[in-house]
Amino acid sequence: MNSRERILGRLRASLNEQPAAAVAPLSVATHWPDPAPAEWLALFKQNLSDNHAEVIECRQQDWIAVLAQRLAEKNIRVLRSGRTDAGEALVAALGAQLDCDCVTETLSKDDLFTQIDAGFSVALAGLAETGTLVVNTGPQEPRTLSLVPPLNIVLLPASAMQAGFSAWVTQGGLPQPLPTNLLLISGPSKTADIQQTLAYGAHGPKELIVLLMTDA
Amino acid sequence: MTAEMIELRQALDEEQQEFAAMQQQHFKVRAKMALENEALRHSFRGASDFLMAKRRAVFPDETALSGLRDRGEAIRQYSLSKLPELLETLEKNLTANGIQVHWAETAEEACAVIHGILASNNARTVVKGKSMVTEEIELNHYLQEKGIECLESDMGEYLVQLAGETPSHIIMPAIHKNKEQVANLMHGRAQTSDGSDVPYTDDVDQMIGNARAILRDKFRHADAGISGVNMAVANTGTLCLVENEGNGRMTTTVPKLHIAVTGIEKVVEDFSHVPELLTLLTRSATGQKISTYFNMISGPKKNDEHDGPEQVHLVLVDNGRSRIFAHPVLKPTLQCIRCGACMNHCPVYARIGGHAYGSTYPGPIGQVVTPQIGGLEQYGDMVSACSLNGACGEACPVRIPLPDLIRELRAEANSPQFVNAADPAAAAVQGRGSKRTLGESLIWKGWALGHRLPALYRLMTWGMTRSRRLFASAAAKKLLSPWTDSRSTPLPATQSLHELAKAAGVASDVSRPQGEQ
Repeated sequence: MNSRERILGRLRASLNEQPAAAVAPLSVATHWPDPAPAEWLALFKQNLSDNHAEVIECRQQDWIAVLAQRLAEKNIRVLRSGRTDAGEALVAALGAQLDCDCVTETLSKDDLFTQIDAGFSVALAGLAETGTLVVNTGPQEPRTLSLVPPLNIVLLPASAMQAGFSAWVTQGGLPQPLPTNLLLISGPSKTADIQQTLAYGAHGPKELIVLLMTDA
Repeated sequence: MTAEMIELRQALDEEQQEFAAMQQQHFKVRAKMALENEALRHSFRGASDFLMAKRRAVFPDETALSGLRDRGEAIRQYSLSKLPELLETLEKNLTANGIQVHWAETAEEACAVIHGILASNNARTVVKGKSMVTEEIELNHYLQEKGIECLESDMGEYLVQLAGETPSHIIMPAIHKNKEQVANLMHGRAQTSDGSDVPYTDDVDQMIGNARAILRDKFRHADAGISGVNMAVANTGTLCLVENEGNGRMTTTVPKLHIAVTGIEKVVEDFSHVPELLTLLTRSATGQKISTYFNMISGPKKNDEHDGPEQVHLVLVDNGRSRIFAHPVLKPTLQCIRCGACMNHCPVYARIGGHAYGSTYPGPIGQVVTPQIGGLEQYGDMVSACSLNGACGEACPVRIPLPDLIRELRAEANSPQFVNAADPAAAAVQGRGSKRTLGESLIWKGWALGHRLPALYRLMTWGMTRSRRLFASAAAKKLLSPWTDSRSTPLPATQSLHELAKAAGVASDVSRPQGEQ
């Protein structure tokens, strides 16, 4: 017998010996309220702002111009995006202004850690209750772009807003099959490990900009 | 090196030696040392108050909180009721997703399995995300002896490792240090990527910035990342990690090899069980509606993906958990989601701090978990560090009856049936009966007898009231000193309540239940 069989054997033996233990019924109601749809946008923005993220409202026709201006103000020189439709549109429009490209091959760790100022991603959904972006990664959406560059930019169409994580999962929001890495992002990276003092930019992004596209 | 630097390093070395010496002491001595340390008490009290207030603020509605705790308890109990089945489903789905699954019965086996994976990939440098189970199995120490550098990357864990100490809280490992201590530690011990000393600063943002630069360089070059797991989803084969800093994502994303380590109890059946446990965890732990990142891993990098680890492994660790599972009363120990709310609300923890417990898991959950993993013989004393005030049980997001479990362990420790089983199959807690002493059991026997036999009871109270002066004697003070050293000595009244009642004309047979003599 190997360790696996011994562990499982002990667990099974215990279950057989124990009288059918009183297990709290799974059907118990939560009473945890979901926010009303009318509150979603305001709640989403408030939660993200509370977590030190910058939420910029924009429209389909002007989001690139809005972002371009913000990037210029922040003096961003190198931006990388996944190969999404939005990413390609961004690269086509900003290619002249800065070093801006879609990732099409394995990212060099040196470039990633030392050269890239900003990573651009598109969110799959927004969760109002917690101010959260759901980011699906894959060939078109490298996972490190929302992690390693100091500035993390995420585009979210307002129509993808949901009440919260629980509602999103139970209403079939999860991509099928699941990606190798699915992410919930609710702010720039932070820590309070030194004397409970909050500091942003612990290991990952120091800033998070959320472009909330209100007409899409 | 400047004279100041030499002095600072000596001071840090002395602190580390003091820490090591303190850890060798008996629990009662450690607790006393902690109580006498003003700075330490200030740190813990401040942190406890801060975390309790944060938790209160995100649970404004008692009914909603209560309902969510019901759900948390139900999900965890349901998961445990199907544990062997769920572990097999998890293994099947993880394997289908390309994640390699390993099983380990003991801490040593878990370390050996992890070392085996590292060795077969020629990995010499490891970055670690925060993981309590790897603290439990003392993985760093094991790998160090095998010549593998194992760097903690959670800011708190990094500082604790730099100081040569152990975490004092499961969520905030460096909670015992104030920022001046951290400033000295960073300046005296940390080295930048080019090998020079970190300039002195006590500005928190700058200290975090310095650590960030050092650790990002390590992430970039590490051969492997080792992380814990907060929840493993059986039906989808997914490993979930909760964090704020981004070091967990770095650890599981940047190196080409990722090894996740978890206790066997962390599995849930379905993804629909995840959101409620997540919200209970972050709200109870730090008063956050959600953590900055929730990282769900369902496989290694695919061929057409541009980043991510090429290999992902999961090591399932038993290390005494299947014995806890077999115990009829102590089984709810395994419901724990490791939020730390019990320690934040524990008045004993707030005063003696995490290190006094001398175990990986401190506070109420530590008092329950540790003796069951390490045995009552070594860890039985810590179950006495409880005033049975019940705060931990009321704070627990998954309704673990912690005060009941602590009482059960006290009973186990004093059980007349001694069990010294190294046999992992024995259902009893190891070291059962090891704290039983003849004197104490006789006193309790006498106490029980006195309360059963009215004549004996009256004789006892008569004797105590008539010999009350003895309680003030030097001999009695010495005998009672563990209690009276920090409290005023109790002096019995001149007459017992019985005598007073009789003198006042209260009939003595009014309340005697029927059927008794």
